Amino acid sequence: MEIDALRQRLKEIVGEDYVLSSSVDLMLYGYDAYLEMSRPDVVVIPENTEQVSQIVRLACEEGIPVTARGSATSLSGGPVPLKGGIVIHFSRMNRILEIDTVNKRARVEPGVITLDLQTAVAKKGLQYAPDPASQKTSTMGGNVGENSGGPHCLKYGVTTNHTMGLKIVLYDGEVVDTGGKAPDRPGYDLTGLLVGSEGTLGIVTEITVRLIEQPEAIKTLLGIFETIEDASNTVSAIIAEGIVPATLEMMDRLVIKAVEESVHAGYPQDAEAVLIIELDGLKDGMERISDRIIKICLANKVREVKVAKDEAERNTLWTGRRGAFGAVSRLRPNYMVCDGTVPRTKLPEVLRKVTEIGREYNLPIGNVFHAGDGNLHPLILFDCRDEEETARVREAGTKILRLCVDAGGTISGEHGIGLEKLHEMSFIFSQDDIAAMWKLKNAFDPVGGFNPGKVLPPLAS
Amino acid sequence: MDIKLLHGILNPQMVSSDTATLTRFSVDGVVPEAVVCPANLSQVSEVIKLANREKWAVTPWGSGTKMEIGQVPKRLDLVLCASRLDKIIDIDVANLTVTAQAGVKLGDLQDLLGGAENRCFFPLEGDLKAQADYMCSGRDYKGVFLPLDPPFPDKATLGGIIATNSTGPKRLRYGLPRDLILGVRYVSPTGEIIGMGGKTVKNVSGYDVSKIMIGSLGTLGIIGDITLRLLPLPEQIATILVSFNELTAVTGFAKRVLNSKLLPTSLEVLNRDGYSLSASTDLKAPSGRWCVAVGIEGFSEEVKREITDLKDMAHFEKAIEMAELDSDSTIVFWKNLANCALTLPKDGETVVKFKAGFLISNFPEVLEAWTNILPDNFCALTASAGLGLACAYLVIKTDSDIEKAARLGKAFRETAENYGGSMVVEFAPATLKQKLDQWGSPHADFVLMRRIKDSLDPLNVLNPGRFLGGI
Repeated sequence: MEIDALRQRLKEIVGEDYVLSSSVDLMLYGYDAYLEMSRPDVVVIPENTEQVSQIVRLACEEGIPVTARGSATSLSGGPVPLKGGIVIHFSRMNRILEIDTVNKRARVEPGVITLDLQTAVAKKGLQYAPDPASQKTSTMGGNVGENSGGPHCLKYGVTTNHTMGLKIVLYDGEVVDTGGKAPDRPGYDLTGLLVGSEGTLGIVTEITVRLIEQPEAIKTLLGIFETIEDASNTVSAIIAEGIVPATLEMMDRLVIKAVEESVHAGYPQDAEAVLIIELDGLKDGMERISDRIIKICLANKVREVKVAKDEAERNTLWTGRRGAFGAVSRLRPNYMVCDGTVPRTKLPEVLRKVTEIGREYNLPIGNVFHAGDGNLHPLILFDCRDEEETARVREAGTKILRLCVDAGGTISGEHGIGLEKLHEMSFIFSQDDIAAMWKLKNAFDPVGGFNPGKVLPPLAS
Repeated sequence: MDIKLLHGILNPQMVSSDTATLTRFSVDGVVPEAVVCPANLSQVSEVIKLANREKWAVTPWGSGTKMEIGQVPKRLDLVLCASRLDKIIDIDVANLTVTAQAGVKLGDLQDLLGGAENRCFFPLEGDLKAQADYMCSGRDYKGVFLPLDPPFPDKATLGGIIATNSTGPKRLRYGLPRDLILGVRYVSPTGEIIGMGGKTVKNVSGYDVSKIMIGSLGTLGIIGDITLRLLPLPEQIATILVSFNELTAVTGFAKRVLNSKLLPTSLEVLNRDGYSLSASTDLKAPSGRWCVAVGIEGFSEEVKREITDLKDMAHFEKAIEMAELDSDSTIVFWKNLANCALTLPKDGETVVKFKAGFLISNFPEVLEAWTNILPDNFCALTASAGLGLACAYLVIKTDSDIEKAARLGKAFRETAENYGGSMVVEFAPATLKQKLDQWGSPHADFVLMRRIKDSLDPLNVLNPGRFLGGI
């Protein structure tokens, strides 16, 4: 089909104003927070499921690829339209359809900003637990696509643990509901398979999530450490003590410095590591548990433990963590985030080796990560105008992921495979494993129209 | 079936075809031609590849506690039992994970986990020089546990629990198998050994294939080993029993608990027959028509607070009686309830179990409707207030009560469907299955399930005909 004819057909579906095709638009909708970019042939902004269904049906008939896009905060190239075609942008499907306080469920469209949902349910005394650092910008559809995590996932689990049901448009335009508000619908857990599939199996147009009661009490502590080993050992020791806090977040010296210069969260700039420890739940017993945590910190040579006295102090401590990626980007023009995950007790060893890799490749690496989950986020700083340096960054990134796999971990904790880690899939999966995933892909998308070139590397023939 | 082909890949003692064994491993009265008990995943893989070549139908079998789930098999040539896949591969107390083979019994695993020594870890594993470098927990109680409490906790195998998505009352606090599973290794329907996930708490590398293995009743693969999340054992456990006469008071109490900040592990509503299943000899029956059992676990201060608040709430709803169970009685109480389907039937009787899921908001309506259609003789209801789940256990005469049970099952199902849910038959003799659909009607998304099954198991080797919609 000619591009002009395609654009015309799409205009008939969504209206003149909601089909974008100027060269600036095509460039703007061609990249995310990873390094690669590409160009779609057309961007379309539908208003409802019926329109999405018509777009997908048209694309299927004409053999045109379809890539879904939220706010494109993705860090692995998920929304980059690698093979061109149609980008479906969800900015108009951003309604919170229902907040059901009795069943503790919310139904939302995929374009809803994560924080907007959290704010809306908080007004009713409830909470949507997943809290990716990008929550101010990221969309619920994107969170589902990437199975996003966040600091509170140590205790509450990731997006998949809170997703009860989805409405999806299949490759041929059919619309089906998986799961739902009620529990235990018989059949395969399609919802569980769709979450984290990065838009390669279907297009999600409605999401049903689980809400929980807000905790009665929250206590936030900041441990300031002289070495990153002491901080990591503290993390393992807290868990060993039988305590599973809501969060255990760590930042190293490079990140602390960047954060302090940008948002002034009150972290001492000469410390090697800070650890944010947050407890939540019933107020009863929390004092004793927090005292035990402080004792553990002291046993691990903490310099100082600060306890947030009120909501304002708590927010200040968190501002630093939430603003970390942004703050680091002030240091060099670009950064690449690695997203390796290891069993928690391997953290000290792996972090030491990450530092060695930084030295070996002559690249500054900052660490800000979910220590309780063993989920590292080494930030490699560079300037993408320097091609030689960029090549070194990619090599160092791959080496860090290899390191995580060798320590019994994996290549992505929460950022996804996208197009970034196709090659590294072979670090953890055999050809048979990948073939099994291709069979699932083909069951959902026999024409290969959804987000081609992502998640699954081609099979060696 | 040519048994000699099996002897080519397995030791003779792993293959049985004597009548007694075959009868013992029959499914809904359908007798297999052979039973094999391979000792490792490579052998399972060989068996499945052979089954594909010979077009045999294969049914996996753990300890058999859930073999009544599902429709009568369309075909059955080979039962693949997991009794030799019984190794616990890794208990990592410091990282709170366990990896074990599918045939491991949950009870055995919990015993081992509960006694796991002080959780020590190594500060820098490469640098470990002396005993003094170990860092151990200073807490004065020990152990970890797998937060799953499905029916038949002592007998049920991990593979069976995963394959049937089996859950218990503690799901209110700790979630389902899907919330605990980190990785799985299985043999695909075409015989390849596939590994997905791993030991890390977060993992978004590739598709989350372990999710569709859960509850798929062995139709998409033979589970080999599983990695699951653990939790530290709670400092203290207790149970509060509250009895009421009126259902409105029961649901009023439940609502009060659920809208509070309390975090009970379970909130089960039992009718009088339901209560009789869980009570041990030293617990007298409550005087009311309904009993609500609230499980509490946590640090001692939390438990104390929850007991106080729960008693206040019960008082407010004019409870007839209240009792507090200590930790020993708590364990016995919940275990009896989990095992009740085994202890119920006498000679010539059979247990039938219906399990429904529906909207939490319709909990009062479903319970009332079910109560109104209950038979006069024994019928135990157990319902999870915060989850929108309810189970009914009937004891029927195996030969004469089938029609009646089918009618009742249809009425229960209609109620669940009217309130946004569904109902499955978890226990039933084959004669009842012919009169009552096990799963209910599939929804529009069944088209995907069918395509997945066809794509993964093109020759329909694994468990043909037993799953939803005839998969």
